Amino acid sequence: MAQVPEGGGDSGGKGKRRAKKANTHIDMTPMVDLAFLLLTFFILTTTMYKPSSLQMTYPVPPPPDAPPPPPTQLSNAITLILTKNDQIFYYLGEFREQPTEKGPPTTLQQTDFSKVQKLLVDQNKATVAQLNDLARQFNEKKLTEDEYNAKRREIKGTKENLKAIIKTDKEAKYRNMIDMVDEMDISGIGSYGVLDTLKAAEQVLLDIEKAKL
Amino acid sequence: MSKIKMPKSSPNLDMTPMVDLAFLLVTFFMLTAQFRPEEAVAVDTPSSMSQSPIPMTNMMTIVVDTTGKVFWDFTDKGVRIAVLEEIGKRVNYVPSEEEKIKFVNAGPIGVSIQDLKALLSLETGGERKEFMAQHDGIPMDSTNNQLRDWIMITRNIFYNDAGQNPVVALKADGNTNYSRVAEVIRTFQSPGIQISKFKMITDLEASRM
Repeated sequence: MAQVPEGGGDSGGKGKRRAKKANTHIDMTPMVDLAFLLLTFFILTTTMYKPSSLQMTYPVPPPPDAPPPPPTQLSNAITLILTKNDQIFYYLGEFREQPTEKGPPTTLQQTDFSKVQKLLVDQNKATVAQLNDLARQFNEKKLTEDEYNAKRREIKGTKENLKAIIKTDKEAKYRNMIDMVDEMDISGIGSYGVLDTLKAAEQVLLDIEKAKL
Repeated sequence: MSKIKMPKSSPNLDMTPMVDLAFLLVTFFMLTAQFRPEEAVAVDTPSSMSQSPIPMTNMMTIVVDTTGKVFWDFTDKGVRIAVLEEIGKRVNYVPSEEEKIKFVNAGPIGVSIQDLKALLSLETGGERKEFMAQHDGIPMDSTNNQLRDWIMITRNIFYNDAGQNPVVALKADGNTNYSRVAEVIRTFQSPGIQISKFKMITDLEASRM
């Protein structure tokens, strides 16, 4: 315990003329506590703000006079529609208004952000298994970081891999879109598109489902 | 064993140097901690697992707040002044030296070009924030897409100077309607600009796996 050198602690009882100095035992423990508290505060607050960024690459829209691109294979795709209150509606494959030989008319299934990861991983089991294998190999130091990244891209880019189309309606929030892009990464979906318009038929189905919420 | 009794009043451990050191460290951190420039617009970015850091120079940031207002920001002073002068020409506004300095320190700017002079006549950051809160941000309607002008002018000025495009970032509040953000992205993709690579600014989130 730090002590301030005593002034006149022992002159109390002697001559009447001597001023009685106060005993100056200051216990400095609280001050040291406070100093360390301030120190910890400043150390933590100067490093906590860590904004990072998500690199996005959007395809450049083709010039208006270019021929229309060939229609994309949709049998291996999942379409996710983001809407209000963090809800997600989805359907697999292409959108069917009328029953065709490929199946009945499309209905929308409902899910939300707590369950969508399981859904996507289930749909994309093969790729996720391959990516997990690859991650294990990387952790066991059998691959360099560059090889790991290159192989990851290769696995995610294969034709058999699940593709996703993310659509938003007017009530989806920006954070829903960012969370969904994160889910793409987690579930190993390499090829996905983000659109903010829905087909008229999709909008009709969506409105019916939203009314039930 | 010593038979001399240790006087009880002498301290076991003199802590004065430790307290000195603690205060020295506190002073060091207090002085080296820099305040973030006052936020002209409060944006609560959503979190993501991505970890690529944002550059501190040569970056143009388009900010969208919760109400959907759009702001423009650029990190470097020289480019900011050049953009101000160029964009002022559209409304015959020649900024004074004092107004240029205010513009450099003003952070994200969210007013129509017509209101720029009024914005820069205000003295403090607080007044400017208030002014921008009462107006509607940079107009982005199809007939009057001023955001397009800001982006194009910035890109051209930067390209003439540096020979490459600036880094473009998009910063939006988690609760902003995505359709508004999609409009900004469409402006990025519009002919004449065609920025297809940009960064979305997020907070770092603990892994959700």
